[in-house]
Amino acid sequence: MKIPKKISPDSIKDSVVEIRYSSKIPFEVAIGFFYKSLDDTYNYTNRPIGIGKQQLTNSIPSNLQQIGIQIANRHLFYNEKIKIELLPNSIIFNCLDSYISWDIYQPEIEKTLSQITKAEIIENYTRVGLRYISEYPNLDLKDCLKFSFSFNMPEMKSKTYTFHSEFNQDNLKIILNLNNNIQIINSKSASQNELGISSVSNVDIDVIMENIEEKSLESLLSKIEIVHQKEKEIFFNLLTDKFLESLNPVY
Amino acid sequence: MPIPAAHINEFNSNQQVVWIAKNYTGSGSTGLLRDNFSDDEIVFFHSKQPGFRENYPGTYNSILISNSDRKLIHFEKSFKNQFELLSAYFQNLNFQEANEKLSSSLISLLNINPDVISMELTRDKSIFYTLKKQDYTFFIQHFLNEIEDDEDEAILTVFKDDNKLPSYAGSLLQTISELNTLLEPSNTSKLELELNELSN
Repeated sequence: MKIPKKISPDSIKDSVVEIRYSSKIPFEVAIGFFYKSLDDTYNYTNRPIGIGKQQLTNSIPSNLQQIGIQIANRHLFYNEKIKIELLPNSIIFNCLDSYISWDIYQPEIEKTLSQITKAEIIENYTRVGLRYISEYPNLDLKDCLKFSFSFNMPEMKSKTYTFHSEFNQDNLKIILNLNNNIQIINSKSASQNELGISSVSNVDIDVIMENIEEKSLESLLSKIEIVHQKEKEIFFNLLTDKFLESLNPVY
Repeated sequence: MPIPAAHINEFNSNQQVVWIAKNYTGSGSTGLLRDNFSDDEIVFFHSKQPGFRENYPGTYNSILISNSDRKLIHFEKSFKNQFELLSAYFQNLNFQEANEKLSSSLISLLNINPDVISMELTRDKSIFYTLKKQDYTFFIQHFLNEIEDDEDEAILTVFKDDNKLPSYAGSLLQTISELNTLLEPSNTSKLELELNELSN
């Protein structure tokens, strides 16, 4: 199948790239090295994880209200285009706002990895995952996907469903999640004093290359590219020809 | 005081639309009791049913929090710009100190997963938040105390639909606690579950 370079609208809600690694040093120490290796275009912020005081104070006597349990911090970096979360043995990229296209996203990922690699604390890159979640408000997946399911009760028509499948192809693990016509509240409508109940469908495709032991950045980047190509292949093969045409594909 | 809904629209005309999973609590589906005790702080819909426990085997299993992180980053960037504009009013507080104070209130407020939220820095050395969640509209003024070791104070004004509820003033911690109490009545079972999970 001919894979488009671009569609419009892309309807991509999330575009997560996760690189797992093994480290030469403990994460608590590594985070300082990562911080130092990234240039001034990146900003750092963190977010506590755990039960905050404000949650505990709902339920306990006032003399115990100063208790707050903070398990750890989540470490976030961001620039004008992407955000990066650093976790023990994992680096997670996502676009800061709407999807910026692979032509812009990939160089941002490469730039970050290139700077982080210079810290020389990564032993190996061990796994590459790429997960794109597309969201279609008020659209039934039967109108856009080559997908249907049935069971031995043909009179039953399922209006709302969730579908989860895991399979392997070309030494890649692929996780496909489909959600059809899930009811939601549109908060923007709600803010305008309308109830705003609507429905949304999702196509969530996760392509994973596991059990790798890459030391060089160049090899890692080529693996990211392979995973991205597979992601596109799965997505575009799912779409009906008619729906794909409606997305103004550019080849 | 402006009409809550009008005020919200004024500050959120360009805010990204956020989809929120519909609350299925009343639907009577089997297993919903467990959902009520879910410890997910952020309920944001991408590809999972509300209340579905996060146990995803693939890439990045904290996808729900990602949207909240975007809001945090958006407000931090906005705060930096506003602080530069109003720096003359903050002579005894540097940006780093003010930013830490912002985090103390902003993260707590984002954790309640508001439907819409806005943030403004004022010349009164305070951060003014407007939030809408469920039927409630909250106005919170967080005063940035310049005296080291003194706890920050805040004022909470609440509307339920268009009806004014009693206001609250106190420490920032107590004020946010008061806001949480309004949204989620005291639930000792939930606390017990959370503490048990921590001890496991």
